[in-house]
Amino acid sequence: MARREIEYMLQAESVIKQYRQPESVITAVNRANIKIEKGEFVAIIGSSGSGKSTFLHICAGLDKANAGRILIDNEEITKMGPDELGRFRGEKMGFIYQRHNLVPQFTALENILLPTVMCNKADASYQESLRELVECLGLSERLHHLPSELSGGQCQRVAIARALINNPQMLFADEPTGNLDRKNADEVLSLLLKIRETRGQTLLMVTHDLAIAEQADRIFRMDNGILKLERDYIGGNKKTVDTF
Amino acid sequence: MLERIWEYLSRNVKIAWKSVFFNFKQYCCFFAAIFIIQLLFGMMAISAINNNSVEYQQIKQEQKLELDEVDEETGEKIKVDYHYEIHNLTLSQYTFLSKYKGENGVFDEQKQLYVIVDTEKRINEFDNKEVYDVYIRFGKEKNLEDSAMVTKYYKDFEKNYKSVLANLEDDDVSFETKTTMLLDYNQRVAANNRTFWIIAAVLLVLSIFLLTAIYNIRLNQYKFTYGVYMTFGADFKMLFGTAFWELFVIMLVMFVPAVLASTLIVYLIYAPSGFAFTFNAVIFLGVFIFSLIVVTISVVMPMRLTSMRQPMSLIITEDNSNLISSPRKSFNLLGKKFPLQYELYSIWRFRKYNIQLLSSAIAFCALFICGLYLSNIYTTDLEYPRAQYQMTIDHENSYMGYDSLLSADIQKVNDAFLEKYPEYKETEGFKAITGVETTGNAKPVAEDVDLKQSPVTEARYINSFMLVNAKDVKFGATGPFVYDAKDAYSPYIGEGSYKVTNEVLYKAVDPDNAGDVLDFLSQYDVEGDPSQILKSDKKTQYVIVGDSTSNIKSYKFDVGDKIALSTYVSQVTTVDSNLTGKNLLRRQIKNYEYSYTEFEVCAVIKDIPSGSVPVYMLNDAYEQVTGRDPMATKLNIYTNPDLTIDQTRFIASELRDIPAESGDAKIGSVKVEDLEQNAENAITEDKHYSQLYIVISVLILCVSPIIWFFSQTNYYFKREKEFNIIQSMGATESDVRTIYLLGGLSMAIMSFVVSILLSYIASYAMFYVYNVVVPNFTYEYVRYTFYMPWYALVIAVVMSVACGFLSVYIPYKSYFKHRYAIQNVVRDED
Repeated sequence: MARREIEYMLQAESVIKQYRQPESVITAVNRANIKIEKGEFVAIIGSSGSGKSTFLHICAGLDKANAGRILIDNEEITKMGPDELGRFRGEKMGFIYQRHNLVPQFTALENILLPTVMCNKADASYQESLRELVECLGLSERLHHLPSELSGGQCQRVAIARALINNPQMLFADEPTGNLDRKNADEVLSLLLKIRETRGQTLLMVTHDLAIAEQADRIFRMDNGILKLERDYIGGNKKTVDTF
Repeated sequence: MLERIWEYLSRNVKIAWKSVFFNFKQYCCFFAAIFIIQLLFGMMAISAINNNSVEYQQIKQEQKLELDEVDEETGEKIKVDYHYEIHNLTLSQYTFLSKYKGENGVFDEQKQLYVIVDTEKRINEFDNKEVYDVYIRFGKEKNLEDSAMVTKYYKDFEKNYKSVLANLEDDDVSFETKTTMLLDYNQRVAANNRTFWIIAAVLLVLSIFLLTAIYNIRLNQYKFTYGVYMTFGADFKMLFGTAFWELFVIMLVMFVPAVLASTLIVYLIYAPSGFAFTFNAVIFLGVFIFSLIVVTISVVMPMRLTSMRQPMSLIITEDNSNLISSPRKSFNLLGKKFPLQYELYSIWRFRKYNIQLLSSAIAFCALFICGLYLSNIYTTDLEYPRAQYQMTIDHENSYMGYDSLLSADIQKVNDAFLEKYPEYKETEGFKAITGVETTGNAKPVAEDVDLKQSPVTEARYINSFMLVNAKDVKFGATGPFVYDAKDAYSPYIGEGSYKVTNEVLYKAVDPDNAGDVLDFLSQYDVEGDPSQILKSDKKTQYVIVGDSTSNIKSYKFDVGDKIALSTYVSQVTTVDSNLTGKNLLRRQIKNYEYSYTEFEVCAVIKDIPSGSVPVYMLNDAYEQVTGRDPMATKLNIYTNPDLTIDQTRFIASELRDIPAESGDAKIGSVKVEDLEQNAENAITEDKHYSQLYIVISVLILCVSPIIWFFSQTNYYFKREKEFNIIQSMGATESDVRTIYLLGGLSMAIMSFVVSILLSYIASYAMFYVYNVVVPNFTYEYVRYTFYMPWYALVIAVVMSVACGFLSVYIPYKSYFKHRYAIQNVVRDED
């Protein structure tokens, strides 16, 4: 029987992030390591201020680490210049924030399409994806409204559509339902997971909601900057070990 | 009580002081704006005080009468102040005046109303009667400074003496009286003060507009914060209090520098005149109260409006959402170019903000142009030739012809002047000094002045009107109106509808002396051949017409067009005497019977200064239309502006001698009115309006960058998060740089267009006001040519374009200072 060769979508090695204060140094991420396979859904949990969001941002190239390497689809983003990283992010990654962070002067539809404009890709390829996302997320009635005219749940749906429109291989989500009520949160999350599964995208999500995390393939816990594997549902066993 | 007030004041000032200086960068613009406001008012107030002072000193200097007596100590001729002139008094009138100087015409040494400071005697050759010119000072004291007492004496004189003087002569001989500037000083100061208060009111409005605009920009930036405050109970009183005390502190800090700077600037402007500089401590109080009013009002309105809003509506303005115009439909972004179209769409969505910014910032550039235009108009106006004297000829009592005899006699004045002041013979300015155009000397004055007033009759005063083809009336002209004349007038002048107007001046041209008129008209832009008017015959009568009413083009006359002028014949039914303007003319046309004379236009004058449209016709036609003799009754006399008061007085005296010496005119048949134009010009010049307006304009221009930079810095600060978001979606740093660049360029381009547009509107508004509105009050139709002051335009455009671009550059630099700004957006999430 041929051995399956593992294809990693994200590899983080010995990532360190420190913030210098006048009289002390705060280590937000302390030698964090993680490898995520293509198509995998990984959740990071932890208390507020544990460094989970910082780690997520570093993985997505939104923040710089003091040390360590990040590889996405085998390309080391920590070595990329700002412009190269920008373009790479546009092509390979999608990001969902806790707050929707929509561009205020553009409508829901325009916000969804913004990533396509930044990649300067041909329009026809997006028509189907757009139709699918709008339908699936129930946004068809609100497409021509500004973010200030939408509810929080609707804004978050737009943000999800925006993150998915380019069909990125790697999705990052930073407490995507943190600002929503339970009902809305469940709805939005199930839509996100449904679409991800259909498209086979890799998802790294930060959350402090265990109910959400339990839907992931693996769960990591971030505690004082140290990343540990909490559960591994792929292996079928619950174990608590240091990775690598 | 006082202690509590002091405690209240010091507590609020201390808190505000800390707030302002802790956030100094946020308040920089307010420091600059309040400094400019205080400086402007300070300059205005100081210059107003100095204007009154300069005017008084200038008048005292101008109105000194040089007597023949010599001061024994200095050896120089004695000079005295005087308030009043009476000319052409007969011997009995003069005797009465010199004898009864007390109240009610009764001499009383203790209550002497006036002193005769000088007398000139002439003998009229026509009837050998003695004539006296008398110069009077009210009050017994030599230099009576009590202006109220002088005015009282003057009123007593007018009441008790003038009628007695008139009754002393049965003959139709009349004397002329004239008050001097010294007597009118109080009225002049009152007029100056009125002007000051009007300008102060305008400045108040402008200052409030400026500070409110800046405060609104700040408010927009802090709406979110205010929304949070209001959530926890902040009300109008609290919001207003915070804002007011902050601006109050800034006002206090800038107060002394602003007053000192304004004093220095005004001193530098007025110093060259050589008059003593005046400063009054009340100015401190004035500047303080003025800026306090501005600060209070500028804060009240924005804060009142803010406090009336729901807190949530303020909280949602954390980003620039409140500046966005909501679209009906989304743009189709698919396949669009980034970041070009992204930024263009953004600019369109932020159009409300962009328009507000452009209009308010560039409005101050337009005001700068208005100021320079005003300054230019003052300079031009000072150079504009105005008559020093006006002679009015009573033809019934005079045998003098209009041109031939009179102009020859005026030449005598010239010769006499040169005899007395031979040094002027050697100078180039010699001919100018005579100041009398009709002598045929080289023209001492600008060429656009009607030197000899042609015999003239205004149509409305003789119930007459002009009838023209409707096609010859310019669209939008307000004077002429449609009149269906077909029943009343056999339409020689062609088919179609007619329009009528009585805003017409009929002017006579003497065929024997037409050269003067044609010379005069040749100074204008004339279409056609004016000399053809001399070819008028029974079959075709020609006229030369102007094309403007109230200095604005109203007609589209071409050479060969026909017009008809009506002559009142009789009244069929009465006309309501309360009617005016067009209503009156409509009723007159209906109720009166008219005869009509048709004319052909031989020349059109395009740019002649005009209240009513001038129509030049030969004497016969003039007589036929107006029913009057074509006799000129007035003659304007221009003198060189550099003449001294004694020299101009000499000319006046000689002019008054003309009828006496010529022997063919009775006393009083020629009146000479001294319009004191040279003195007026000297006073106006010493007030330095021109320089003041330039300084004020420059200060106003400085407001524009304040608005630009303050507004754009806040706007782009709020957009930083947006740039971080788009970078997280794949935009590169270069894209963000390009967005900034596009924003700067688009602002520069829009500024270019808007500044030219607003500058043009501002220039045209000033042109319109001075050409059309002001003459309605001054009754002097000076025609200024419309022009764009190119240097001002260049400054305004360059300033706007530079500010438009640079106001984006500074936020750009600030954004990229923290190169990995993208981190900011993610920190927000923690």
